[in-house]
Amino acid sequence: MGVVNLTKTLKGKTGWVSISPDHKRVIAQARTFRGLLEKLKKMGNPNGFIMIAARDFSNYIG
Amino acid sequence: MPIKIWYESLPKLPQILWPIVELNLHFKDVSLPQRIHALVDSGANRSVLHPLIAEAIGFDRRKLGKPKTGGFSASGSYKAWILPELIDVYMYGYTFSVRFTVIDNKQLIWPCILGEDSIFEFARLDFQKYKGYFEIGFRRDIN
Repeated sequence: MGVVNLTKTLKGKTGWVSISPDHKRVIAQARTFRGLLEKLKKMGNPNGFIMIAARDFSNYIG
Repeated sequence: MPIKIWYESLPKLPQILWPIVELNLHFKDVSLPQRIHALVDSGANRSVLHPLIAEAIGFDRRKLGKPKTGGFSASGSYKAWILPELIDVYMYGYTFSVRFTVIDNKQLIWPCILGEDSIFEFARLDFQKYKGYFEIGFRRDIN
């Protein structure tokens, strides 16, 4: 185990995404959060986590 | 035993490492179908929830009234609602309740931000970025 690299998994993705627990696969993707929830529901709400695939995270200053 | 969590790297600038956790939210009888990404931000004095997440778990922004101006971040000022009720947060087998601030910005890039008023009240955090991970030790006196 080590630093989790999501750059490959998220390559070319924008909007709301659901990622597999091993961080290696996009389960579902949608432009809107509601759209993502609908897709997940149709898939039987598989295990995973939801995040936002931003075009650029580097601009965020917390 | 503290819980060891690896930092995450994200697109565009993978050399930046982010302290991120995955958590479940629960409000009344509603919860989300999956965990959500949450940034752990020691520089944030309030914990923030994305407006669409808040809506999905039952908070109608129209009923919350107009968002209040007055918050400031490194990105400038913002309008926000402070939720009138606590939301239960589940992570790594522990639960705590948080009064989230919902920023009136649908373009927010984090579903959730855990600031000083949430996880830092319930756990000891030991950031070891040079090793690529951080540790969360939940308080035993309340958990």
